[in-house]
Amino acid sequence: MLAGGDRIEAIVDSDLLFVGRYGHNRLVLCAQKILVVEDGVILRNVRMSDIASAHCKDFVGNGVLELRLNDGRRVELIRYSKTMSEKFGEIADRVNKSLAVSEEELEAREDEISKVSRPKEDKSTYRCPNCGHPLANASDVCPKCTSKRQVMMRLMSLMSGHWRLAVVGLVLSIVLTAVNLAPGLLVRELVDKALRPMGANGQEAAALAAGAPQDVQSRPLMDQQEFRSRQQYLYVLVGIFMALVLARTVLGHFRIRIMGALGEKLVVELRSKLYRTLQRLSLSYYDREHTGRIMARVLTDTRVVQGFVVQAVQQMIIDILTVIGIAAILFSINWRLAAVALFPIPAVVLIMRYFSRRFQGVFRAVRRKYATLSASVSETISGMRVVKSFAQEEREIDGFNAKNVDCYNAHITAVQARSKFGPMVGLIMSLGVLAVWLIGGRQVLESSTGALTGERILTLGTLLLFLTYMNNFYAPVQQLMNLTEVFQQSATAAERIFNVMDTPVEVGDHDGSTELADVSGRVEIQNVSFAYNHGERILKNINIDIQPGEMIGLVGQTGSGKSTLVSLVCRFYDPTKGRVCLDNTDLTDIKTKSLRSRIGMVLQDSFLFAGTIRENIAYSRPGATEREIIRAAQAANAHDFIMNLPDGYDSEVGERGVMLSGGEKQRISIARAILKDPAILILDEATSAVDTATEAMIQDAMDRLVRGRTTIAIAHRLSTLRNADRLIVLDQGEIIEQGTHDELMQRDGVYAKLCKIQAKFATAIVD
Amino acid sequence: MTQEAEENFLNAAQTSLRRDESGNVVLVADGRDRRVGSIVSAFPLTHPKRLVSVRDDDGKEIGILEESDTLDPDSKRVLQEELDRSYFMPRIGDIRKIDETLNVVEWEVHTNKGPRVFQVRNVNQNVRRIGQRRFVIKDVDGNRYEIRDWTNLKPQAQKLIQGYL
Repeated sequence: MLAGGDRIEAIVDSDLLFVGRYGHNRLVLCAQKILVVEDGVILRNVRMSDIASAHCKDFVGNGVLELRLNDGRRVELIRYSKTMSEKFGEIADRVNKSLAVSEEELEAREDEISKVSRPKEDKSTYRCPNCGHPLANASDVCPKCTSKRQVMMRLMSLMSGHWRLAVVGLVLSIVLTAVNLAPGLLVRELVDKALRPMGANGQEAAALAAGAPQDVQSRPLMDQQEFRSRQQYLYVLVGIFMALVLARTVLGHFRIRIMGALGEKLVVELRSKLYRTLQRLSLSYYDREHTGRIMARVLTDTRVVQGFVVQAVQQMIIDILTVIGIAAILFSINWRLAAVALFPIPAVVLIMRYFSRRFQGVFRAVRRKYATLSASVSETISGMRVVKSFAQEEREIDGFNAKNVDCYNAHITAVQARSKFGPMVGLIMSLGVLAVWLIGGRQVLESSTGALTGERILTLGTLLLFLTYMNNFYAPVQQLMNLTEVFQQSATAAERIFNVMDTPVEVGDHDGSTELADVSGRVEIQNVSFAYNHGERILKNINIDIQPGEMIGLVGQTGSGKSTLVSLVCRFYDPTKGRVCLDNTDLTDIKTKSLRSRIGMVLQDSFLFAGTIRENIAYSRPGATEREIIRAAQAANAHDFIMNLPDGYDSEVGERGVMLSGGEKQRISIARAILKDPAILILDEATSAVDTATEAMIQDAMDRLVRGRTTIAIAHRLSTLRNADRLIVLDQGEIIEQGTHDELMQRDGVYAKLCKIQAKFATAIVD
Repeated sequence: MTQEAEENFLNAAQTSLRRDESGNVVLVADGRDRRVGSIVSAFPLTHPKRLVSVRDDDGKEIGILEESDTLDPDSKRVLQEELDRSYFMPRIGDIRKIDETLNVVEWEVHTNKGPRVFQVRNVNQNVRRIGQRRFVIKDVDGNRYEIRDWTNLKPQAQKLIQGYL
């Protein structure tokens, strides 16, 4: 009706009114027009033919979908909270698509708009694309909509390589359960057949009751023959029991061994698969994920999964078999008494349910408090210098104590909950035992007086059998109850692991990727734009043509896009638009390994691996000879300080080894780059954070390194770039100036200004 | 690589080492005698004699001597003496006792330089594995000891060190 014969393409309800109250405005996107309706009243009605483009303006906590009209006017179409911004983003995209707005136009407008609206904050919540359930991290698995069973199946499929072991383990578990249950039956045999006192038999007892006591006393209770046969039977039983004990020991030994081996194999496999994936994943993955979380995937989650596969699953099988086995035995022997014995079970299950829910909350609180406590310790320790310099020790102690008390309280709550649960379950379970004592005991008595006959006779042995099994019955029930939590935990852990494994490699090779032959080193950056994860554009339409052997200096403020540009040349990321070419080949058509083997990097934070200096220098070329290593170190001005270390090139660096200064590390990483002998060299703030004398040494080494290579250098200190053939000044992702130092000084623009500021600083320091 | 770095290498075939009358080492290279302050190995643990730095009295490098195997026997002897001095690391042949009290491990050993008792703190850091079977141990005072091949130690000694390697 509203559409008036027009085809409706989409209807989206917003959650915010223009006046800023929550409420619904409805946006109707038709083929010919866009309508916005509130309570049946049309607020906006814009013809498609009038629209130039559509944009989302982001503000804090809400946003607006805005139309630019052909006559230059702007129309705010609808207002919505952040929850809906993605939905309306899609609408804007659809409108622009149907209007065939060119991308350049859009980008230009968007940049304009982003100046108006507040800068985009990092998205703190991510939502499951299927169900909208909020997730803490983009990479998280939605717990709501993934099927636990599927994950478990996949997990079990990991065992397929070791199915023999798994089957053997399972069979052993079944046999062990049977072996564990057998002694109960032996007890009955022992009591009823071997040890049964004379007179416990029905008739004799009846005779006793009828009153012939003297008779009983005068003759022996048991004749010789009876004694011997019973004794023999006793020995047989002892023998069987002994055999069972032995069998249990041996089988148990093998079961633990087999299951242990299975678990370790599984976890090793899983870890190595995971690590392989991590090495293959693109850098953008590491931008999104915290180190700690990735570590947890590799170390903790694999452990959890192992524990589950090896212990939980096994335990579950044994527990279920035990429970079923005991129930079957009890019911088959005496179903009436079995019913009495097991009547508290429903109550126990209910109580366990109730408490497990309470426990979850309580223990979660304990964990959280504990995490807060440990975080506060690590924080103050790393900030100890600040604490001391402001003499705030007392305050830190007070703060810590408050958290400590919090932690204590949470623990006490947990202890209280547990203190009710255990005894309560114990009490109810004892009711079953009590009932067996009472009812079973009476039945034994009645059987011996002949009041019970036939099928209903209950022997002492059977009663003892019941009591034995009941002792063994509740532990497995309890464990099975706890299993849901373990199940939940390991399913989530497994999901997270699989999630990492399933992460697509964004920057990868394709079938047509080529190996690089000789590289002359010409780098062309053509119309390149780039945005991290669909955020704001960091680079906007950059064009640079770098000749072989040329040294380019990138200048610009923090956040101007220098490092991003360099990352694109290394192909850590692919440009959102445009292309980067090396010797006229698009980087995306070159095998990444081949490309990176031609690029050397010296970064601001020189990273040294745990190992010797020799290994660290040779990291770029593992086959290098000692002579080559020394020559590289000499060229990097590192040789002398290395030789002054006790172990020379064999000195260990990193956490376990000698401490090197920033400048020393820097020179080792320069040596590393020299040894690699790359066609293209990237220097990212390589001389920052060192003193002037060291800088001179590094600069000297760097000059040697740069010779004859295509070099892209980033530096804050402009003096470092004095040798550059060409300087490129970036500002907010755009090239604003380029030329040689002299040319730019003459132009008296941004670069000249920066130079003057730095020169002023330098003279100020000298003065 | 640049030319000036190249010149720093000394060809062993055209170089010799000797001691002057007062026992100081003299390097003879390019027909010139130069007083040597010390000779230091670049790879003291992995290739002690392959590339050694010959330094003057001020510790400044005169040059790097390559392939010292090709030196004449007398020079070789002088080199070995100097290297043994600049990197003293007795080889452990037998272990009598290992005691651990309060994170300090006391070793009582027999070395190729005689019996010795030493303490090691922070075993993780100071017992360093090199290759499969070799270990270098640094004691609390910075002395170094070497176990060339721990599988060649006596069985009791092997048992003793198992927890520390």
